[in-house]
Amino acid sequence: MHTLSQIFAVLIFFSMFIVIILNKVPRYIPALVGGGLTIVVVFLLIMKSPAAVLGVLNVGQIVQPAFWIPGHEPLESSGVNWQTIIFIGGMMVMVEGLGKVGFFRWLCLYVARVVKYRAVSILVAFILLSGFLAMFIDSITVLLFLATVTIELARMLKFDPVPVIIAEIFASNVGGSATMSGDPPNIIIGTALGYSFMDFLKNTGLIAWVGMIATLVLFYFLFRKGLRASQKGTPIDPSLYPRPKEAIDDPRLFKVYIGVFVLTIALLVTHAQTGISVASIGCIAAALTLAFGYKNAAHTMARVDWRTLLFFFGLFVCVGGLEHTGALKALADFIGRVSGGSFAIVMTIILWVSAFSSAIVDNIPFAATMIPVIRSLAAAGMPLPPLAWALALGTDIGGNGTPIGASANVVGTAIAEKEGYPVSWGRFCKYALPVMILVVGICWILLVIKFT
Amino acid sequence: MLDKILIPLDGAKLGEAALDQGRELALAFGSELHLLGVCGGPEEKYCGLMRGYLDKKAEDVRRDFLGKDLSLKVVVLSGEAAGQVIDYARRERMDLLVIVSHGHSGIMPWTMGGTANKIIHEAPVPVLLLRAAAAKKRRPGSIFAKLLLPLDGSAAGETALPYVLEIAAKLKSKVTLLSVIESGQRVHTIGGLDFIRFPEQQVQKMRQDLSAYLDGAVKKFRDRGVEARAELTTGHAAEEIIKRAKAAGARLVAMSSHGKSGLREWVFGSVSNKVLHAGKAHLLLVKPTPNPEPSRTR
Repeated sequence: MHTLSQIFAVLIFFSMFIVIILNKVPRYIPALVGGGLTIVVVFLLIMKSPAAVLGVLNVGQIVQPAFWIPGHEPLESSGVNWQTIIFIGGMMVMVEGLGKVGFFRWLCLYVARVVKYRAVSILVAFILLSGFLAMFIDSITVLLFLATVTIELARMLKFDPVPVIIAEIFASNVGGSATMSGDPPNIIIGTALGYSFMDFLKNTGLIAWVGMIATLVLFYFLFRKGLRASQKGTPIDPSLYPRPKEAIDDPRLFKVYIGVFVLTIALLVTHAQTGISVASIGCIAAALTLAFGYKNAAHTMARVDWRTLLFFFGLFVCVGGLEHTGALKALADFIGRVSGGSFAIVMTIILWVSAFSSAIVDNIPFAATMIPVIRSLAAAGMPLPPLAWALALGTDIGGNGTPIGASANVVGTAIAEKEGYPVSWGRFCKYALPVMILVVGICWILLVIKFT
Repeated sequence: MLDKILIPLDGAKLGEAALDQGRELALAFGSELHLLGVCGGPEEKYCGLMRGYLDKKAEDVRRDFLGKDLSLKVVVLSGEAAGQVIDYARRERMDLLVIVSHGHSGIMPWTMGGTANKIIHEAPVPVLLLRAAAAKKRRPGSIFAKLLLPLDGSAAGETALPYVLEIAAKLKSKVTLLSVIESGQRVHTIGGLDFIRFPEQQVQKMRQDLSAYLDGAVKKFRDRGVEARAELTTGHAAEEIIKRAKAAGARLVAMSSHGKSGLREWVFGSVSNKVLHAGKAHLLLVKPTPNPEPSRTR
């Protein structure tokens, strides 16, 4: 029997989602309106529960020492996931600083120079670079720089950049699935369920890099001939191409920011041992970036994508409404019934449904919605970690299926189209969808072997 | 360059504004004018009426050309209006098609949503689209006195440039060349990213490239003795084009019907659609040559 609060929570969530899909207004507006309606209509008018409002807003968590200070067990979180919001906000500041001093462009040009500007070598190197960078920074930034440099090099070296960009997109999504900080669904899953960076690396990381090697081999054989043929006859003279050094605006700040980046990675890798929360790491990264680049601090802060952070906030409140009213438990019960209580089947459903859903729907709202579902399944007796890894791998790698499946895809294809290389749905899906199914299949086999 | 100008007329008074501009260009370029009327379907009975109307208009034009060479053809075809106009333009290798966006009271009224829209989108030749609302006012002076030429830095985006250069050189127009730097790009997903903000370094590079590109373009005009200036602004391309046309007092905006983002973006996408539907200035739309270089500025 569905309660009135459940019905309204579901109605508000889907209304918000439809308005977001219609894309007439920035997505943070329907998310915030949906969050506001959830609080007023569901919690205050129907449930008459101010305590539920405080629970979903989760403000109390921020003032707890365990939220920030080393030495405490990580907090699990429901409702607004402040760890995610603060960490992503902090990383945005750091990445903005790194971009401004020319780090990403320098790195791309440097790698291209190392592989002697050969198209096939660029394909392999950029796949690995994309996968590696996506483990630590958001895939939007990875593709913004990689795709731009790829097109720049493609024009000079006369090769078709589209296959390389498709491969970079794929690698960034697979690489992003390897760590807690790689893809937004992972940071949401990790902070909501209390997992560490190393938990991800040991589980999704290993599986993702097996998938990454498969990706590399597949794309190498798919695109090798075409790239060689298109570059044939084009003389390679490194003196004609942009020098990596030209990308660096401020050599001193460039070195300092690399230091901040390395420190942030080190803090992330060791945060389970040091006990420093990811929110604290985000704050440290942002504070150091702003302190060293104090002359441009205000400008850097102004360029932070506040809208996305507001979108996360609204989304978490809406999903909190679904969770508090028990609507998502009903979904979990349904999955439990369909699977006949079999853990292997539940894990399989979570992985494949996440993969195919994320190929169409953005993986952030999907993951945020599914976390309470797997938490309910765990409360019913299923082991939580494998379900979390299945959800992370499914949402991250499944996003590869179509040009709109993940942020990296949208950025990569939009840049290609803007620069005069439109990537049709047909061309993207022709390469990406079979590889996505294959890599998710590999993940599935490895999950089954490891956890059943 | 403009050897043959096609003016399709539907009999509406408003549509006759095309005659004024066609005549002005024909005088400057010594062009051959083709007045085309189309009747067909249930309106077959209007064919005779259309012929008489076009003959009358041809007389008016000839009168204006008194003492000057004029080659003028009157053609009446039957069939579906837009299709006939497009086919005729292709078959007769027209260099320009002049049309008014609305013709409400004519023998065969054309509307922006129907015939005129189809002609704009499918005509294989450059189209000079005159806004009905602006044409109605019949402001004194030439619409070619001040021109706005938006350029995006791509070869495909500058197909209107040679036309503007010739028109400005012949008609002594003042030209504003406009480039818009977009700080990001709207994208469409299902529940995900809706806007990509370009990295600052990239935006700065765009600014440098476009600035150098505009300087080069302005020089082409000045070398021909045309008064030209460049404007580089930041914002949304379509909105800036509309805003700057108004600010510069340009009554005609000349655009390539294809830019960096490909045909879909300029003709059917946000930039040209917005300028086409939300703009107030008359438009000269020029289709690109096949397989242009993707970009010159980057």
